Amino acid sequence: MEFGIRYRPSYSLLGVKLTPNEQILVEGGSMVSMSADMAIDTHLNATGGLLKSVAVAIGRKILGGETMFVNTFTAGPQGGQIMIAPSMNGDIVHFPLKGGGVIIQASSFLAGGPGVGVKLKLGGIKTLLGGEGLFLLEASGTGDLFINSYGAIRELDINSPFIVDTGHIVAFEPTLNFNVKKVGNWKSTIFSGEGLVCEFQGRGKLWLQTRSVGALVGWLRPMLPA
Amino acid sequence: MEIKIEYRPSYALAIVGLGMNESIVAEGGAMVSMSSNVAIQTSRSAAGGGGLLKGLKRAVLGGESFFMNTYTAQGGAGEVTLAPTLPGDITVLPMTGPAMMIQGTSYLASTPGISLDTKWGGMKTLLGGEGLFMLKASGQGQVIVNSFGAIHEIPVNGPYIVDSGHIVAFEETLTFEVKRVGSWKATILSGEGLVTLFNGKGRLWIQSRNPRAFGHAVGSKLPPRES
Repeated sequence: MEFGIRYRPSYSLLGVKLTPNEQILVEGGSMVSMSADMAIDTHLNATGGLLKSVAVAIGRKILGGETMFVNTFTAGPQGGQIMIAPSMNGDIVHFPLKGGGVIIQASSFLAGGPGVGVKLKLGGIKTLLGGEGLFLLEASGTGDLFINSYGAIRELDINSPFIVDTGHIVAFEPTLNFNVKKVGNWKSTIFSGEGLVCEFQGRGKLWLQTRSVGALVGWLRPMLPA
Repeated sequence: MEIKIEYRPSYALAIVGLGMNESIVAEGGAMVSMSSNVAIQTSRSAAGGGGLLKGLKRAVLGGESFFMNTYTAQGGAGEVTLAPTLPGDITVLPMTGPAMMIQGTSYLASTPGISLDTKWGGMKTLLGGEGLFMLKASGQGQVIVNSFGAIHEIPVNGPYIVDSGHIVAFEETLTFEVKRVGSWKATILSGEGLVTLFNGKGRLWIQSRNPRAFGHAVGSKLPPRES
């Protein structure tokens, strides 16, 4: 598998060349174009038991933004090419996984090459309190993982408690612990415009996005006709 | 006439320099600014004539604004600047050879020598469900197209599949048909729905974002519209 990312950072487009019969896992609705002999197979987007995947898929759908399904594209006997893009404006970043894992906000998952597995992150439900649709996936294995952001992606090394607005989280290493909490006192929680935040502890890398879909929606809402 | 594109690729603006009595035809609502000696004439089907019916056809089928405007510099040179609604790029496609098929929402403007017609591809284009309404541009001159996101040129040679919402324009030498992707299960659940299968040899331009996908990503979080 070879890949290239063009038109960064605002309108990033991922191009992937697959060898004969090679596969790539892609977030539903993200295929832009592809070789005509590419095969597509559709399945629920979180592994780990049918019941759980259905519950998670529906939960994600209700919270908005995410599709319930992911697609596996398989190249034909001559190999093939596929182009992939997310729905929001922003960047695409390549994560080479080397046996470890990374935790991804579900809407930031774009694609995973051969050898990359994606499953629901246990304990992710507590993040529902964030109220901003923060569903977490855990990607692991050895291979190429691609994530996308609304806006630019900023990488941080965390080694002391650090607070992030839930809507700006893209991904973090599993060595970090996190808690969803209110910001400041209740007055701040209600009036600061920050709502609930995520507090990270431990050591590890954290990736943020410079825009938040929740904030965009909040800005648009009062503009809608009554 | 001199056409410059500035602020590419995110917030591209087309700056059209007109000589005396020169004109440019543009989609309704696209004008950002103009010299005071530029006259604007609004018609339902400015380019290529055809009157009301053609204009209606374009408005209903092309996903485009009902009116087209012709801007003409009078008594001297003038300037018109044009911009699309969504953030993204603008590209000038010089037309000397084959006719060009342009996705309705990707058309921004054209020189007066270009004739525009709604390409009624039959139900097959409607089935795309993603605004795949094509304008056929023919003649000699320049067509200005806009994209949501970046514009990416693909030299097509043989069968190639594109999500309908990502099509900007393609040369008429290419054949196209709207079809479902994979099995029926994939068609319904994959989020890819129906796609466009191109064949033949010619140039294709795609946009790196899909307006409809963006609309759903944001719109699904907005309160229901009260009618």
